[in-house]
Amino acid sequence: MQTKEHSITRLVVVVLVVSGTAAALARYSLRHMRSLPTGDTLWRIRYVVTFDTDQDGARVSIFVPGNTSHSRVFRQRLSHPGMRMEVSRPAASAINSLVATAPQPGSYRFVIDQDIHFASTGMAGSPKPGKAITTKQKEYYLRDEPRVQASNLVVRKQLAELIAARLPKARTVERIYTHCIDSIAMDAAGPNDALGTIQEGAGTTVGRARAMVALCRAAKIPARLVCGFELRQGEVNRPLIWVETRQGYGWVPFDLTNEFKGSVPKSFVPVGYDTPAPVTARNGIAGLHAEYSVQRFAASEIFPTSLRRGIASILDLTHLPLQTRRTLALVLLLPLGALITALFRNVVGIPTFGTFTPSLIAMSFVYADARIACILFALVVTMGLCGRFMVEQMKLLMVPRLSVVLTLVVLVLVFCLSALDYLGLSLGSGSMLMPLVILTMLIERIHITEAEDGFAYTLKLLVQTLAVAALCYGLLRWRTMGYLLIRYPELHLFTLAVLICAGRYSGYRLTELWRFRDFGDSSKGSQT
Amino acid sequence: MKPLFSLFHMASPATLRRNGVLGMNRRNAHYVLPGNHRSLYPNVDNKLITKQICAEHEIPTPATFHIMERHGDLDWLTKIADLHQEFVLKPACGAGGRGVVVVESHEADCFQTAGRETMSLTDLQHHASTILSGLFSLGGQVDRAFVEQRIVRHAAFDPVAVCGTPDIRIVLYRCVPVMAMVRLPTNASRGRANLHQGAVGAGIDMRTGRTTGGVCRNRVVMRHPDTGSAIAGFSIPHWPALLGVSMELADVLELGYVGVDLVVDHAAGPVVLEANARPGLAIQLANHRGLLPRLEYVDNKGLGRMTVSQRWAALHSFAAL
Repeated sequence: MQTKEHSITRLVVVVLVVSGTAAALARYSLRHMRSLPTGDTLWRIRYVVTFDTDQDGARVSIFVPGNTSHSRVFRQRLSHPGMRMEVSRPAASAINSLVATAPQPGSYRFVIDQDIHFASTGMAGSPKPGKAITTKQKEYYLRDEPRVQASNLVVRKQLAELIAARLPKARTVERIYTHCIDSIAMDAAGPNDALGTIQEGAGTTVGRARAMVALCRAAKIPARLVCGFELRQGEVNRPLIWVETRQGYGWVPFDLTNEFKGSVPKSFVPVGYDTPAPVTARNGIAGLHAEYSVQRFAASEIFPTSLRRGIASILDLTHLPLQTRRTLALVLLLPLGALITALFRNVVGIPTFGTFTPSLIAMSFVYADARIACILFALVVTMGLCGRFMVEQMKLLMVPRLSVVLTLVVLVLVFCLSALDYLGLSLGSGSMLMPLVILTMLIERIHITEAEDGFAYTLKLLVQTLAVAALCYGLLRWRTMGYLLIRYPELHLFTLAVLICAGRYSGYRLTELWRFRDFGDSSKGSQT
Repeated sequence: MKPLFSLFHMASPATLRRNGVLGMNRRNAHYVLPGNHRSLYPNVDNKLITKQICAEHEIPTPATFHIMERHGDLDWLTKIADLHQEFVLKPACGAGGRGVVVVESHEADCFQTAGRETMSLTDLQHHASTILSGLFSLGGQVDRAFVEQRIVRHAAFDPVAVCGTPDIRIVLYRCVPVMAMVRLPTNASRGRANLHQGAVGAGIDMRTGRTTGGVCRNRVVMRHPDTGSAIAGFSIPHWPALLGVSMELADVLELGYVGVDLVVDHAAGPVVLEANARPGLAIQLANHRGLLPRLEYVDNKGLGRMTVSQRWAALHSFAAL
């Protein structure tokens, strides 16, 4: 019987290893052998940003390119030593932005590379034409802003002079565009807000674009400022500013600088809306300096596997949006966390509270500031235990009792987060990933184990749980491995093979060498 | 390599193999998984089913006073307390002795436990409610609580037991008793016979039923930590009967690898407390012998089940293994 099981196990492990190797090699060679379709190019947009701050928690907003009908971001690299970088989605915007936070005063520098695949004939599977915007979105794009004073009397008066009679939307926008081209001069030292530009009849690139946005909004036509780059080889790579107005089911672009009306070249890649620059200071920043560069690079350097979408692209995770890939990179690391747990259980022989509790605790820490998360975790568990001891006095039934502890855990967590905010500290966007139910069960288990097996044993088990969680945390923070698994998910066939081997491992556990140490000792241990 | 293990006060895997020590992984992969069919687990994981099986085959177990299935049944504890001065409250699907409360005596609302603790009736009812909610059950499922007769230990154990009743663990492989130990409660274990809580485990010579030495918290001990009595050389009362009962139960449970826990009542003699489909490995420490040679001995006797006389004969062979 044992031989049969051994044979099946061996066969499965060999099949997994061989197919994993074959699939990884096939994907690797495909990535390097296939050539780019004619006319397609690869580009890298780089931001190099430096700034000083004399405050804790100073922030910088960074707008990064999104996918368009002709371009797709296939890789993003961030280098931000000593800073925390989080993804955020601005209201009513389809493009993700990042927020870099400097934890303490000092000088900082970060570099962001975005690699873009540009398909001259259009990207297959590109976003379909949009739907009608909602009333809320419409209100958002008609709003009055400090520098886009759409409801100001001067702006309204200017609009009334331009549009005497009621016109169709397209004609109105065209007239506003022509006015901005003809009557508002370009002046690098001029005002950069809508009102000032209209009053003086001159303004900066941003000022002119804002003037057009304000006039469109005054005419009740949704409009927005667009900041972006042109995928063009050149030495000076200033971000471009253009305007988009909502007409029918789509956004129609107007570029006052290059005088493009109704459309802009497909090589224009937007990075952010209603922002004058890709990188802007939010609070406590002095001397923000950003350099941008757009460079074309050879296809042999990196090949995006998601050039054309076929059914086979389901097996290719690199075509997914960046945010999804970030999440998947973490999810793909979880089996490795489970592998660590299995190895600790069956090879090392360390028991923990709950089988996957260490992995889940580690996962909740990944997106948060580790030090603050540790303090928060200790606080929640301690307060939860205090609550559990108090609840014990009331002799409640188990499910309501667990629910009481869960409620206490939630309240402690919420007020701890509020206290952190009061102290100007941030836990990070993923802080709420804290597995509350797991924490509640952990508290209950700690309490029961303490009552049944004593404090020393409970402490030992807790320390072991946290040690395994710390190892899992180190693994889950290993971004390189996460992104490698995104590119080669078949590597998990090896994980499966190792897990199966661990499942059939019948040798001694490391702790058993200690437990049965008296068998190796002629004196037979300490005799009492 | 060997000095490296010595440096960390560990035995080398080669030493353990040479001594025939069975590890947890090997126990699970080679004996528990192939020998114990999953469908038979409820027969041992649920103490009430074990008791029922024992009753059907006239194997002695402690008398059951009452079974509580709902929170509404908790009032029964008052009636039981009126009828019985001493009793044991247990979860049906508990493991490792968790959730067991042994009441030695009570006066009005004050219950004295074997661990020298005092509980009120409300405490006891709350504990029973926790059992019903499944906190002590193996899979965390809703459980049943039952109250049974408290076993009064045989007088022969008095020098080597405090607070509670010693129990005898016999491990049977393919219905052959391969190793046994007696677990002696201590003050540290709060009257419980659980080794990881500080009880003393004493190995037993399978042929004679005499203890060979003891172990406490994984270290060898020669005297009981509380009474100071010698642990080795003590004769377990009713030893042949204990072996007979364990073999009888293993036969009806049909588990290939099983641990049977028995106690010796001062009046009724050997009584089955429970059986375990995954018996622990500390029995090897208590006997200072590895299980593997004995398990291999049984395997070498062929695939079929050994007759009772063959099993008794095997016990004599184990002395040399």
